[in-house]
Amino acid sequence: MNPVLEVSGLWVIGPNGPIVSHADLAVEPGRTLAIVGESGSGKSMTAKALTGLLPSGVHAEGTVAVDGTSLDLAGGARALAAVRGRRVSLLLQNPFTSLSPVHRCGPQIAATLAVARDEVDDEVRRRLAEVDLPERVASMYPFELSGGMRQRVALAASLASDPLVLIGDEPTTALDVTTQREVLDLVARLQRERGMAFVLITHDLGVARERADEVLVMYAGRLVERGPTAELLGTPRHPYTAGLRDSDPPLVERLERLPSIPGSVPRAWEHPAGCVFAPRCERADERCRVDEPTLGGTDADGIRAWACWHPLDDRAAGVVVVTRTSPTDEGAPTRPLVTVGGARRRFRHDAPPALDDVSIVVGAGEAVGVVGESGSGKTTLARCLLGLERLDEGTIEWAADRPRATRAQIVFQDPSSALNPAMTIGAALGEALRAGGQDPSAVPRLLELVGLPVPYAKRRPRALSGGEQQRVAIARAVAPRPDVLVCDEPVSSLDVSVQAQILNLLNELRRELGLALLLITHDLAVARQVVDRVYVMHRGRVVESGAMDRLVAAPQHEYTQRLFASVAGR
Amino acid sequence: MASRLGRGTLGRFVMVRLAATVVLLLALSFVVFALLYLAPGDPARNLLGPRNPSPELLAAIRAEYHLDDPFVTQYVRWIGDVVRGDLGTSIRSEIAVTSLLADRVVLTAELAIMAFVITLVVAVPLGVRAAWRAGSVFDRTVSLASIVGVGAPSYAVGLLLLYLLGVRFQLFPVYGIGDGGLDQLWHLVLPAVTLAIGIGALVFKLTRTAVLGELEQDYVAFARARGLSEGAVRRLVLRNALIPVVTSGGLVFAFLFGGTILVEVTFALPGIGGLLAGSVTFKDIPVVQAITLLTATVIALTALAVDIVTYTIDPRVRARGLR
Repeated sequence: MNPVLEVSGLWVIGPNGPIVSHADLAVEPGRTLAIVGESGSGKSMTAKALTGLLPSGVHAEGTVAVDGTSLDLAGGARALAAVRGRRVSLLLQNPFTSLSPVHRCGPQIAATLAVARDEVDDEVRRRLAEVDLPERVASMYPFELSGGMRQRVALAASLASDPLVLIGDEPTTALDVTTQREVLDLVARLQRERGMAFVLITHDLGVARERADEVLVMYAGRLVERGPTAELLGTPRHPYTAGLRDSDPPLVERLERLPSIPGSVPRAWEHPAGCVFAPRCERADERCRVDEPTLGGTDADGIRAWACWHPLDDRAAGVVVVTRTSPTDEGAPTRPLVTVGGARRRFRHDAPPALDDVSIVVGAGEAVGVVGESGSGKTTLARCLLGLERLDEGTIEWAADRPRATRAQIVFQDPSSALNPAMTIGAALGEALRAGGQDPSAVPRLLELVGLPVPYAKRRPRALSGGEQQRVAIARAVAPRPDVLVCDEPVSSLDVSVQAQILNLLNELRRELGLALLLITHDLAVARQVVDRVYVMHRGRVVESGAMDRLVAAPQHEYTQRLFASVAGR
Repeated sequence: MASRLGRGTLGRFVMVRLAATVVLLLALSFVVFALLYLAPGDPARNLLGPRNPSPELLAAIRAEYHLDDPFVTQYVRWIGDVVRGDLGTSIRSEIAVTSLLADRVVLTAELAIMAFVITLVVAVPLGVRAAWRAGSVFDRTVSLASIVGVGAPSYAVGLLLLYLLGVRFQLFPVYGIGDGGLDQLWHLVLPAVTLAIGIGALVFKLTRTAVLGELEQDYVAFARARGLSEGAVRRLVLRNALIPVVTSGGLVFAFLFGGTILVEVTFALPGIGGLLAGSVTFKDIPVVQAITLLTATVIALTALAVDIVTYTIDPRVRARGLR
């Protein structure tokens, strides 16, 4: 079959140089192509170039052929006007911001419907039904709907003009796992019914594995590998693809140490000559540092391609070393450190409570997880434990009567906003040491503990990558030597390859310092790699708790079962 | 099909906000009444003005104004009079404050409304256009002009306009209010333009920022990606940007009503601004009280109007309702 969308020689050039360099891609009707990459890979810019939405100062080169019509991408929005919406449509990441907040959903869907005025209402009703929404949604405003429902409305809106190609830019990343699955199932069904092609842009290898027929891997603005999904992920040829796949934490087993890619993702224009991945690659040699490989080496059918001088062979690519840790007990810890009993908290009278009779216990040196989706109350629980929020009812009892700074410390989701941008790393860590009554001269030791070079003490947070910033935030939290380290979604704003490094660090710190960990996360696989015991929260209540091993093997509660079943790509 | 957000709640919203406004005005009136006591010196002497009173006269004043009654009793009597339309007697001119204010209020209101209309008609479209073409020559030119407009003091702008359009080219009258009716409006054009320049520059900036902010939103990118025409995208953006513009418009009107004083003096207009200036100098406390109360009422009612408009144009506010 001929491709419905074919892009050749795509360049996206920003003020600092190329953001995407020479990308080709094609997708056939009814098929799904996933473009996988981390931050700075250029995957979103590719989507923007194809829909004429590049920001000012950034322009594209190359051609796109849609359904046989060839267009020059350099023409931007004007050149693409003929296909935009009508043949190629876009679904954005955040359903909370992608619809106009002051317009009702019906008119927003109707805006690009090609039907007569008196048929609009019927057609809107039909389109809502197509995405499994009741007709009353037409007269509702976006803020009256849940995230999943909003994304369905957005989907109905992007399909209103019956495009041949739908580009989804992280279309489910902002959604809870259970909702994520529903929306992706819906897209798959619509694709089948309409014979529509889907370009799925995602950072999540699990989603790509499950949904895509073909995968393109991008790194620092380059296409590094391409191939049919199962083949590409089964036997990756490019070391980056292999690293990305292996850093993605598994749910079924707990690894002694997660494979990770050293270093961090470079900015697209910030790389030296040679292969963009060479600085992080174990296989790199002199040639890799001088000569840039092109997407060449292919197999017989020509679909498979990679850009590497030293591709992995079948054996090297297929093997992941798995070391399983010993299973843990189901029961309560022998030495409780902190006990929360019957905790209740309600923020608004007309909303359901954030915490509804929650009881948990964390033992000394134990790693405990609190898992739940948005609105489950998990973050409120963490904040109450730290004294950042008060309980309406219930108790929090600490076994040892110690100063607050040495009881518990927290690591937040977004390290860039958790660190004071005006303070050097050294000053921030020194302050934290003093707060715990420690010697402030221990800053170098602290930096070494979290795997950062000692000279970083003189830098400010802005000069560090996201992963490095999170290491600093962790160092700051462990500086006062707390009994328990609370981590609230500590890796969800980080790239997959960096996420594994941070999870390994948390495991090491716990062993070395004898810390207790309380990990708050929506990501079961992340929890799996760190915690022994887990509490599953849903709408302010703990619905199930027990050893992580047991929950993975045999979840009891209906919600836990649904949560585990929703994890993509496993 | 009816939305969950019934429009029937608008009436209730207005009633509650109105009640809140009345409470606010009562609190303000209390402060205004206290002016008599906050002014330095003996209230009885202050009420007599710069005359040298005999003890008998002072005693008569104290009796007339019930100055020996408890403070709260005096306030209740005063506010009762105010509600009935009796704002006391001017010390300086010895005529009723209400009749003193009547004509002047109309003039100032005309001036403020004219300036407000000029501002909206000119500044809002300019702001929208500048935001839509951010970075263009048009945007940079108007933005630069707006900085001058915000910075230039209104008396200086007034004098410049007077000189150029009044004296040099003799297009507009330079002085006074003319013969009433249309001629009065004609006389108010220059002063209103003077006022509108400073305020308009502010409204331009606010509009530009509001529209720019909306243009960066995801829903605009999403609308374009879906193939909506530029016209349709523009309507989407303007409807959203309207909310901050209405809010700032209300503030601007309230400021205009209290801010006419310099312009009234420059153009020799008998409005309340000029009267306030004279009355403060003369310590004509009943007049100052009346003008302060009047201005406060206009500001409070403007805020009420903004709330009601916001309620009707922002469904999110409507959903939060009266909580």
